[in-house]
Amino acid sequence: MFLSNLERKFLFIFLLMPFQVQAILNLELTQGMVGALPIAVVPFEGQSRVDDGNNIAKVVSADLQNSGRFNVLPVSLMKQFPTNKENTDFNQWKNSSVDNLVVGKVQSLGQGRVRVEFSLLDVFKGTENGANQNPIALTQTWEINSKDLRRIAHRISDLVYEKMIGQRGIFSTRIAYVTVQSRGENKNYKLEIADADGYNPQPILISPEPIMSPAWSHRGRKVAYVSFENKRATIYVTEVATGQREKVSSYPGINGAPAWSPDDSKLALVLSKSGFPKIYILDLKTKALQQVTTGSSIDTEPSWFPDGKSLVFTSDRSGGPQIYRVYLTDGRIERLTYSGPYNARASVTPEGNKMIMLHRAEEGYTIAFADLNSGSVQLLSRSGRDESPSLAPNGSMVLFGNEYGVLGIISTDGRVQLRLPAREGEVRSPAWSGFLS
Amino acid sequence: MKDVKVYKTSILYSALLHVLVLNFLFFSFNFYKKVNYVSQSSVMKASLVELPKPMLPQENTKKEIVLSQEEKLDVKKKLPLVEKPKPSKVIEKPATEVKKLVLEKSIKIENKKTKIEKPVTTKNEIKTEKNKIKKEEKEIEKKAVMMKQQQAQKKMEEKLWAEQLAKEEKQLTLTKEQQAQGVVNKYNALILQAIRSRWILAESYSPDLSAQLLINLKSDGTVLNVELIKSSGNEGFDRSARAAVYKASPLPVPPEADLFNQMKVINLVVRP
Repeated sequence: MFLSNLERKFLFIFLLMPFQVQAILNLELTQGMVGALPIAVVPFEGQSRVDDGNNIAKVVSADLQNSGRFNVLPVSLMKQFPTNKENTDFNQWKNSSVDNLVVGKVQSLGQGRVRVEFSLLDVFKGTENGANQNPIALTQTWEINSKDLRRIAHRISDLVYEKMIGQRGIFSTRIAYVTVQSRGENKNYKLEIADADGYNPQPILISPEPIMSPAWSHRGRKVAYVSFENKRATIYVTEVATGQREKVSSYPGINGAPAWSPDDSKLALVLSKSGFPKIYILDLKTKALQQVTTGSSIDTEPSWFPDGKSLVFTSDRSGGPQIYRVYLTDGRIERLTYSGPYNARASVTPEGNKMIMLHRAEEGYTIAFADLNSGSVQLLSRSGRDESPSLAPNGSMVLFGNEYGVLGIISTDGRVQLRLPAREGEVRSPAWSGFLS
Repeated sequence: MKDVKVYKTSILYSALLHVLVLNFLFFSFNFYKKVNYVSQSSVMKASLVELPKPMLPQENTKKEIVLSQEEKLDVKKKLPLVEKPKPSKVIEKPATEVKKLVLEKSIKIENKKTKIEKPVTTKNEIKTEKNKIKKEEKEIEKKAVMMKQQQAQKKMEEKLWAEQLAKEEKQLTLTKEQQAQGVVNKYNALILQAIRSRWILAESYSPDLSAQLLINLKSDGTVLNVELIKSSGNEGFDRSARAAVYKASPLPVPPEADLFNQMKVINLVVRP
């Protein structure tokens, strides 16, 4: 009587509100199991199960397993081989304790062309407990040349990895490295590029003189490296697709350790034209050279912060080699590492809060992960004979060499360590590319 | 609004009544010296106590007023009724009874007054009449006091009883709530355990990540859907938590409907 209809409605809603709030149970979940995601990669219909390098399921399985983030179900334990969500018995996969399923098929279109269909399925959504849920997490179709099957397989791995883990996959990226073959007194140096899993190697340069410090541009189109082919250190940049190369630095003395700026427009490098090895920045378009560090110490191995505003480098300015950071705006320099007598060859993660480096511990030279905020150092490898760490563009893996000339990959959480397929001779100075697309 | 009106009328009537009562008392004061002051005042008080009660039936008051206006005629009929002790009834309807008593008493007094005012023939007659009146008066006073006491006692008992009852009820609700809360807590832990045991973190995600999920449950604990209310910004992390909830379906829930209703919608905050 004293309340209008509207007022009464408001009063009603107001009175109801606490009950509505009460009806929602608030819980907080923390501390999940750190582990690998159980997944099955079903052999694609239309492909033989022979591992001829083009078997999509085999390539994807290896990619995912080697990332350390997935636990891939062996084909021998599979009870069915579906190709899409319609012919998948989800309860059966649930019983196999598989959370996700990669299925697909390859159809020949003639004239060397194939159609590839692929789906990533959520098993828990396809079972009756997840009724009315779409089990398709991803699905895509390509029409490609059959020689690109392996590339498409890596692409599928990237898609699955990004969907499931939440960061870009690195299976389509590439690596560069130098092989050294000894023939008696003579040595043969070869600069090669290959897929991230070590397959498909292609030579860029073969030389009787040393080749050092290859570095991929972030777009993955060019490789910079140091070659002694003219009996003196010279820095070249080669465009991978065309093989065209350009001499960018041949000052007297040391020309070394090229590092691409995040936008690929500049190279940080080490020159000793002033008498001591110092960090310089070369603008690749204007050829303008800027000296970054000065003094009588040895400064080397520059690497860019992701924002392009500062560099890390190795310097002996306080005795043994340690990592320093130089700000390009004002030239300010700060020391980053204090742990241990030897820290070198640092590269900063994409987030800019950590770096990997070569660290001398009791065991010897190891790959270590340093937190830039806390200063804490975590050892990743333990062989004591490691060298030349190079960080994957998503920051999840480190490619490194060792004194026996074999390449290895270790995850930055230390869970996975594997060796790449052996090459003829010793393999040195590995470098991981940026994302190619 | 209607109640207030009713209330007003009753106040009016009560006031009128009191004027009458006071008048009569005043007169009896003059004529009878052996009047018990205490009891009189207590009777008055009793009637005053009833005054603010708005629940007093309107019809009753009207009747009584009419009664008093009718005076002598009804008094003789009413008198024996008053003398008959009806404790149970009194206890049941204390307010009306006291009111009636007061009324009847005043009526009687008025009656006696008129009787006294009437020319009497013999002294004996007057004496006996006087004694009789006195006796009756005393009896009424006694009864009023008794009733008042009974009423007070009853009220006290009722009050105590009600207090006790309220206390027990409160305790019971508290215990029930505590028990329910205990059960809810138990199931909260079970639900979290069920989800956590299926939650796989394949990446060392930043500890700053935080996602919020809204989970709708069927009464048997089956997960109907998991809605991502707030993304952590990392699709993989969001996915891992959603997958864990779906994989934990059906979640452990209490069979009691009222308890289940407290957890049929779960707001789950997830951190690595």
